[in-house]
Amino acid sequence: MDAVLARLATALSEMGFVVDVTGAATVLLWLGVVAALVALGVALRKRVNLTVWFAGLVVTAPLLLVLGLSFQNDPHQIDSPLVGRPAPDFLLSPIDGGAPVRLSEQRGTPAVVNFWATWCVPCKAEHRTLVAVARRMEGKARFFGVVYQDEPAKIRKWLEGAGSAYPQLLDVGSKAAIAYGVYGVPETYVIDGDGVITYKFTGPVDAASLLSKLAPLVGS
Amino acid sequence: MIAYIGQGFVLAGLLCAAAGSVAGFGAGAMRSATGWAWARGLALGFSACMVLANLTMVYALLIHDFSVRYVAQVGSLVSPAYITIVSLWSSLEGSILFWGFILGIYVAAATLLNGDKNPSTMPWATGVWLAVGTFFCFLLAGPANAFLPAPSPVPLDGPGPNPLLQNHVLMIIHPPMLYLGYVGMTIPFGIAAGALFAGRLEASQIAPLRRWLLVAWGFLTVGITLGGWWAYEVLGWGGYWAWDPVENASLLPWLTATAALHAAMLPQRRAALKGWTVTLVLASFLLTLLGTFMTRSGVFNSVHSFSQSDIGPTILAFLSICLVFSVALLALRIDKLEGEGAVTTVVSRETAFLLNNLLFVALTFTVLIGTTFPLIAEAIRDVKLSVGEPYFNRMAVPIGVSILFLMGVGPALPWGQASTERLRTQLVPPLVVGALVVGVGLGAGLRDFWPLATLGCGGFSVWVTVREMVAPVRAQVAANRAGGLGSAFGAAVASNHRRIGGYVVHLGIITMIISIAMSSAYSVDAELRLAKGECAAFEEYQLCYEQARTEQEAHRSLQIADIRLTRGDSSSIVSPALVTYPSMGTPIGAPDVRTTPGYDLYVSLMSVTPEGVGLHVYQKPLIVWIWIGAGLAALGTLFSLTPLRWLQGGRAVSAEAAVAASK
Repeated sequence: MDAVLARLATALSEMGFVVDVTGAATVLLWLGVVAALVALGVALRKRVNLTVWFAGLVVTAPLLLVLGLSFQNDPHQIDSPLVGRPAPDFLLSPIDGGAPVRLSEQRGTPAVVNFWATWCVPCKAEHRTLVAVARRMEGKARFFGVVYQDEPAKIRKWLEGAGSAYPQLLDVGSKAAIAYGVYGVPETYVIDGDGVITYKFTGPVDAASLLSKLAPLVGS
Repeated sequence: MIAYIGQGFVLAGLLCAAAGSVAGFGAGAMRSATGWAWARGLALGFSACMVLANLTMVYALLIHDFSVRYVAQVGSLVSPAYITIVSLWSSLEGSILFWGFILGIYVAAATLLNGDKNPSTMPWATGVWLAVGTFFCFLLAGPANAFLPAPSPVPLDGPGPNPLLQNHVLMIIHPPMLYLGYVGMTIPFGIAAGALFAGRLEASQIAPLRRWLLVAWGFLTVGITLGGWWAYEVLGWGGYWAWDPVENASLLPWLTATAALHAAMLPQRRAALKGWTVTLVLASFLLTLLGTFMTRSGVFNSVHSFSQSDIGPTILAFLSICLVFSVALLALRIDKLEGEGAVTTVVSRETAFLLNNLLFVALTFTVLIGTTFPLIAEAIRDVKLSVGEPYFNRMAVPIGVSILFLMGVGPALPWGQASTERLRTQLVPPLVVGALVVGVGLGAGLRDFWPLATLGCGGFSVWVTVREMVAPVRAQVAANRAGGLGSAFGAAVASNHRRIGGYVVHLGIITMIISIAMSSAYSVDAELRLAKGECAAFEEYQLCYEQARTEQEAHRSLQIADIRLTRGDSSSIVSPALVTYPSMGTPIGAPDVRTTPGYDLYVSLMSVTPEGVGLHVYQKPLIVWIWIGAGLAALGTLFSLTPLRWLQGGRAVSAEAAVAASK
């Protein structure tokens, strides 16, 4: 069954529709129900008003398909014009002191840049995910946290509780955030070895999605 | 403990609703009086369970019992009591619970008011209401359970409800009004479905159908307008309506319900178009479900969306079932309703009503397509796009002006065939008034087509409306004068209260359409950047930036700019602000609005820096009349629904008879 759905999803994608496996299942279910209703209408043609039956189907069936398919989209995912372009460079100081970090220093290794803040509630749960993924990708990808519109004292206290596995940089004057067009926190940018942004997450990331975006970049 | 009591009430409600629904359908099919009595009893039981479940939650909120997860989510020890009560509907699970409460009240009222009248259709209707009740109880018992225990350890305090809900009193009234409108559509839906099941729609059922439809319509009108008013007063972008998917979702059932209210007058008068009326009623309910899906599925991005949740697919499944059920029911039974009468005359009030219905349905489809188009585009081409104001305005303005014109034509035409002579006396004076209004507009320097058309049609319709509202009362007073003028007037008003109420609603809507047209066509705005002490001119005003200050409140912080506003000799301080909530990143504007009958001056703060402030200033004509128009519409609805029998005394003469006598 899964194979059938996957093939249907591919076929539909080749036709230009944007459908994942769940979407393919939705389409299949929808086709089945519509076919059944058409058959039922024909079978009951003596008893039903066929005009009403089919007019009703024509109006409601496409609407239901569109609504059913819409679950695969996340409306909060805002396309960034930066995807496919070189990532803006930054030179920012780590929160725990030490030399300023430049993003372009280690070209060749993919990078993940996460914008967050201590006042952002969803960032807390996301932080755990990021730390876990960063540990797992150690040596294969670099992770940077950029703290947006916040105070060093609060950040240190927050990190003491939450722990960290990668540099947390202080974005003084929100310069990096402005360069990346950050709309709200958290936002996470995936950057390939050539320094080009390949993906942007709006809102908290989950481990599976982040790993799936990193996999083609680290080449394993 | 409280969590278990609440769950108990929800489960008991589920039981009552499911059993009552079965009893209702069974009683309808077998014409069993006992079955129906059971269904009514179970309906009342369902209502009681819903009320008690809600009271339980309010109690849990008030005593801050954070062992209930919902209380832990939205409660907070620092919130004042009224905010605590409001947080009942501030988040997903609570809003569904509150939904159940309103449905319970409606079902109880409809059941008690009907008693055992209309035994052929009402058992079916009870069955349908309780089927809807079963679904919402199922949501409450499973996917959207508000009474789940909090994960241990029980938190000591909660974050409080969504901050947007806390910052304006309108936000406290707007959601319940809208819910009352949405949920209220269930009652006419049940009656219409009952009529289809029974295969007959008699005059004795059309009256309650229209009445319940009007109740829901009135709440929907108020709810939608309050939402616009809130957006205008709070969000600071100078507008009240953005064609946002969720706003559209509330407009859709309003449009079909308006059409249905008018369509329902035809079967009452001519025994015609019963099937069409029923279709519109079913559509209104289905569109409220669509709206529920839009707000709660997380599919649309909107200020109204609740957080991403898993109940989207469940609601979509319910919507699909209801759609298929409605289409099948219509297709199977619609032919039974028709056949008694038809609209044959060309120039008559009936035709005007048909045109009205066509326009409303056209507008419904326009808005529906515009709302769902981004989803279609995303499914087909993976592009994010939004259908913006230009599309909606280009489509909605001509339809809106046509409807405005019909609001004059319809009431001016008689039922049945109109003679040419009659047409002339009815239509020429208001047309002249309309032309005069256009002349005044031209004289005042207006040159744009649509605003002038709106003014002309508005003048025409106001004249007709007032004339038709007053004429029967005058005729009746003249006929009954002998018993004293005062009581004759009272009796005339009482016996015409539905007509008068209807025309007051019309006046309110006309006022709204005109002020919406004027305020969108003739609004002026400017963005100003002012350094401290600097002044700038805007229209007839002088704005000077005096100082910036910050205020810290328990749950938010405000950056306020004091701007001295001078016009001629009078001057005052306006204080727009930027409000920051700890749980939200971007600050929200809190504009300062100065309202006058002629126009609003709207000052919105964009930014505060050490160098100065950025302001967006708007002058928008006639805005206040939008809210006044909606108030009139609400009053008219209320007046139309109030029986006023005590005023009628013993000598009511029907409006038609009085008009006939005066000729």
